[in-house]
Amino acid sequence: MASGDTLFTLHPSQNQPPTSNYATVDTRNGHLVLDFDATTQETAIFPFVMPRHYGGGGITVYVHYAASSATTGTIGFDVTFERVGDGQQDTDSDGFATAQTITAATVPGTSGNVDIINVAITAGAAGTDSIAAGEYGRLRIRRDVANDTATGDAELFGVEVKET
Amino acid sequence: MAVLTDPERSALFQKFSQDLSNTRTSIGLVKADVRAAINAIDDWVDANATAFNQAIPQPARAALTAQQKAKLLWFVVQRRFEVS
Repeated sequence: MASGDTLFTLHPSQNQPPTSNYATVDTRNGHLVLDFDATTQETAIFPFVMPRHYGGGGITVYVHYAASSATTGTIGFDVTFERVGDGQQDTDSDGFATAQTITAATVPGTSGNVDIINVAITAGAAGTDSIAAGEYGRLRIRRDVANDTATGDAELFGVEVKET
Repeated sequence: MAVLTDPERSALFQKFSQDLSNTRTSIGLVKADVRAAINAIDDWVDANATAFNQAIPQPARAALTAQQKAKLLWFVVQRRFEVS
């Protein structure tokens, strides 16, 4: 497996929320989602172990979201990695790399429709935090409330992480 | 009473936005548009506060506190528009 292959997927049930300003659990017609507020930047954090087939290249993160109520405007996120690895991170503190912006995209005209947006992140300290195959890490997702325009919550349905 | 502060208006937006989300009520306005509506409504309330007070007959006008008058207005508007 290599470039273009899915490394892993993440689901709202795997969220390990921070102690404050966290995305909140909700359901939408039975789908478990994470709600991100429109004005206060809220965060979701997902643990993972990088698969052995990861080749060390760039990583593309796909966010599957829907608007709770908006039928106009844009929704965007930022994502970043934290490499815990083998002695790479003191887990008593956070060590996320630079947040990578998923440019705010126009929401679907029907609020229940899911949109898929993504950002390609360059491998390295600033992008993927240099996480390597077989290493434990975390992916942080936040809504880009400063730049997106849609009224109401953004609902995260799932995340795909792919080797670019 | 002066108009609401910017943080107060922001909190109102947040409350309205959350209400829309909780009920999944579709809205075709962006954040700035809703915020402009909130600002305008608050400005209108401020500009018409005296007229509102004058519309209340005596002795209620003298006996009720400002908060009580505001609550009555809220009750009337709520009932007229069936807003929960």
